[in-house]
Amino acid sequence: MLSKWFKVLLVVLALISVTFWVLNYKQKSQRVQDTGYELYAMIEELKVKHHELNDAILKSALYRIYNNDIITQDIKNIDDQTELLQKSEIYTTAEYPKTKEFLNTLIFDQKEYNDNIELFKRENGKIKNSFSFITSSLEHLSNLKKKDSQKLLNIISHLTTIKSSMEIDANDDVEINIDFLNEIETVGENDKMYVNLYKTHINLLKKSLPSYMHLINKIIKDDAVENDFTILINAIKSENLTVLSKLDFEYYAILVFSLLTLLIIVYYIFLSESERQRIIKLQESYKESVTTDFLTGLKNRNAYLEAIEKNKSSVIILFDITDFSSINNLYGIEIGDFVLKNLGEKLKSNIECIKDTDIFKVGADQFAIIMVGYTLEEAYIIAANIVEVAERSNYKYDGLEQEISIQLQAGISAAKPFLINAMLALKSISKDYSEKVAIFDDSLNNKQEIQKNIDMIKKIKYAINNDNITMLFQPLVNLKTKEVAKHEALVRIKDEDEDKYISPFFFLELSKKAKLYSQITHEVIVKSIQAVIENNVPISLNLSIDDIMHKGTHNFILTTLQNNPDIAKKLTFELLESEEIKDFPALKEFIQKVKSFGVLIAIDDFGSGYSNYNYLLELDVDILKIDGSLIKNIDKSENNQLVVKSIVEFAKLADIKTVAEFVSSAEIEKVITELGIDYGQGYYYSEPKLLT
Amino acid sequence: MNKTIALFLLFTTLLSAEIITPIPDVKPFDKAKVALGKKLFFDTNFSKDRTVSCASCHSDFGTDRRALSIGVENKKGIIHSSTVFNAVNNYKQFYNGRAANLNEQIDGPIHTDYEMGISDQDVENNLNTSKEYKATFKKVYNQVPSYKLFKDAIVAFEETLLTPNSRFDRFLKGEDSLTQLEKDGFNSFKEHGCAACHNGVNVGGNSMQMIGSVIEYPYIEGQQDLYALTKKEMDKNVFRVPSLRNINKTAPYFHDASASTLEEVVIKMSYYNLGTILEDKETEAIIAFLKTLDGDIPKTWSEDVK
Repeated sequence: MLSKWFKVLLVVLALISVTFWVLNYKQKSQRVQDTGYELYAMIEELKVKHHELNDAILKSALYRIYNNDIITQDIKNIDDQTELLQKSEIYTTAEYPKTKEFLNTLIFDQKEYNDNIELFKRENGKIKNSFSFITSSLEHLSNLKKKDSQKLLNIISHLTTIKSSMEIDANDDVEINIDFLNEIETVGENDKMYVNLYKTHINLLKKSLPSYMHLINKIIKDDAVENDFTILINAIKSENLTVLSKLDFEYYAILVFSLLTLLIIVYYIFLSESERQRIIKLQESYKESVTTDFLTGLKNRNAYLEAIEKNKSSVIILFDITDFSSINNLYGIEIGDFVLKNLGEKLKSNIECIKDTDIFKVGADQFAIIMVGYTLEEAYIIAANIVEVAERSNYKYDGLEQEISIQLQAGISAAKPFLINAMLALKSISKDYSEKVAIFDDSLNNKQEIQKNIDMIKKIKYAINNDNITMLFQPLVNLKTKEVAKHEALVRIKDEDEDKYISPFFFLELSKKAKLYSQITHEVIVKSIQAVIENNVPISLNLSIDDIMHKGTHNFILTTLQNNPDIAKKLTFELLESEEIKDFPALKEFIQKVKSFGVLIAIDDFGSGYSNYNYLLELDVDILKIDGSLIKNIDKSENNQLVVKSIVEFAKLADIKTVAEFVSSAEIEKVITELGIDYGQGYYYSEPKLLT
Repeated sequence: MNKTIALFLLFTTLLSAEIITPIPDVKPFDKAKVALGKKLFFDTNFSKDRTVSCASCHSDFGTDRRALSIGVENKKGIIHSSTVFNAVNNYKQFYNGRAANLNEQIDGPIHTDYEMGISDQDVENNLNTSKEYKATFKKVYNQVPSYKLFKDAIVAFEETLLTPNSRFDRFLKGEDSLTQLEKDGFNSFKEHGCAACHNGVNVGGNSMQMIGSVIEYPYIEGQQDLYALTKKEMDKNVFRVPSLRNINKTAPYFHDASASTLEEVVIKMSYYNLGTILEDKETEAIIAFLKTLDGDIPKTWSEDVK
């Protein structure tokens, strides 16, 4: 399709062309009209001049004498005007053919008229002079006999009558008998002369009068030129109209063209309107798709974010399907989707009758309901109901024999940030399955927790940099000899502010997260070595799998052992049983290496987990520390005794030494001694303290 | 009593005096062009044997005193030349009106073998071989000399050859008076019908009339009348009416120069054209009137064109 600008250009060009066309048409039609008027005026002018000439001829006929210059001038005027007409549009264009033809006829008739005038001038003077003679010369014929003068007078009278009537046919001869003049009696030469002159003049008049009168009639009465004017004027009028009417066609064409342009514009207006409508519809549907969750058809997170801004007094309930990923993993994503869709429908239909509520899918397996004008308690009740209904329902998928059931939890919050608070509320109940619904409470706010952590991290850093990592030592007592065999090194941070030691419970996990752990381990190793050197006693220190896997720490340990071979023989490394081992061969290798230096390996907290004997054997462990929970009330629990006994038996068989932790009383000591445990450790013997 | 009659007569005379109108003064003209025209008018080089110019036949009050003019190689003309003075006022030129205007008239004598006897090309060659003429033509027309411009200059000169301020004209304008005889002559002139043909500013020259309209006048074979042009019987002896201006100075008279005095003219005219007999007294009066038609010699003719 043509580009927008090209279309605009076309319309603009069309409009400009129409404008020019209209202007041109106006100019043309004006010109045609003006031409028509001009030509008409010129012909009228010619007619006037012809009348002036007629006038002159009449005067010339009427008066005794007349100035012929006037006739000459009138004829010249006519010639000039005729010349103008011959230079006009009539001759220069093809639009006035009839007018041209009639004008040529007129010019031809004018020429004939002029020729007649020439003749008229010749006859006029002659006739007038002769009449003048015969009427004024009678005195010279006073001697005539009465009857002769009477006859003469009759003739004169007859001629005069004819002339004044101006009516005689050209072919008529004037009926006058002048024979008598031949026989008149004259007296004297003078008389004879005058009689002859009269004869001459009367004969002249007899001969010339008819043609003279005919000539005058032709000039005055039967003026062909006069007639030509009428025809000519009609011709110019009609031909001018024809020319104008030709323009009519153009006028209509302009009209049609303009209408067409207008229609096109109207069409485009309609088009653009409908386009606009279409775009609005598209925008709406786009908005809808953007704010709609495709799977469930519910409004999505975007819609939620928009909606939550609208009302300050909102309460939201955030529903979360417990461990939804396991449904996906177990049944497949298709069924997972089915569950979500179903749940969505259920939730929606549940809140439909509750006013001022709206439901949104805000996460993969999370739904939020915004409620306006409800208290937290009301929201709690509604949430609880919904959870119950949702969990009670079974989700039957076509093609699957068993029904799926889900567990739902809800977090409620009435303060910003709504979702985050609701999620915190949810988190707070994730471990305690008795409650399904929790209301957000500031105490859940881990902002304080985060702040506490930050403070602790500071403390850790400070401790590292200022040598406040302190080792406290707790003795292990040989249960047979009751002598201190070695000390376990326990890491503490000395808190200068409060003059106390902070237990690793508060900083160790945090230090791992803050990437400060390896530095602590470093300190632990250094200080432990120092203790061995200073006190010359065996030391046992805790290592984690992280330490062993950490390249820096790993190498540091090996290097230290290498550099201090004597110290190495006095060291024991305690490893936690419960920790996950990802790289068993690497661990085994490390143990072999350190054992080659003479270091002993102990497994700490054995028995709290799954008690993997094979593990102990594989790693070639030297010592086994029985978990405190088994020892704590061994004197009262037979089950514990049973468990410990089996451990001890195994250990003896594997030639592994055993240690009992958390020995807090003599009774416990008695039991563990009876069971055959090699060493004991606990508050009964000593609390962790500085080595002296 | 005499005074009132005189006044009345004067009044009526003045009324009917429109039959003749005074010659107007020369209109402003292009001096350079007219000077050139005059030079050409008098230049005999524009003829076959370089002896004849326009002035050769039109020098004495615009005409010559010969019955028949003499052209190149001493050839005799065939008609008495008309006067060039006031010729611009005639409605046609030549005796038989075959030239519509002064410009067309020039073609006649130039080409006629017994007058100048040369062609248009000869005229142009003549002009173009003259440095002076070339320069003058350049100055006047800003063009190369041509036959067309040659004629144009001569006509411009001829148009200035008017003879105003005759006594009769001054009388018409109220600047002068006429004697009784002259007045009577004018009245007779009108009453007898002389004025039927001799009227207007040139007292003639404005219609074609037959000489011998009442009583037949002798016809000369081959004469330059209207018949020579139209070959119509009725046009025999039909001539353009000559002007009576300066008539006293331009004898002989008629196309055939058959009258050499005004008296002869008046008697002949009254006989052949009016078919009447004038008394001696009347003739005298008319002649006195005719003499009042003498005007001033044109300035451009008698002096250098300034």
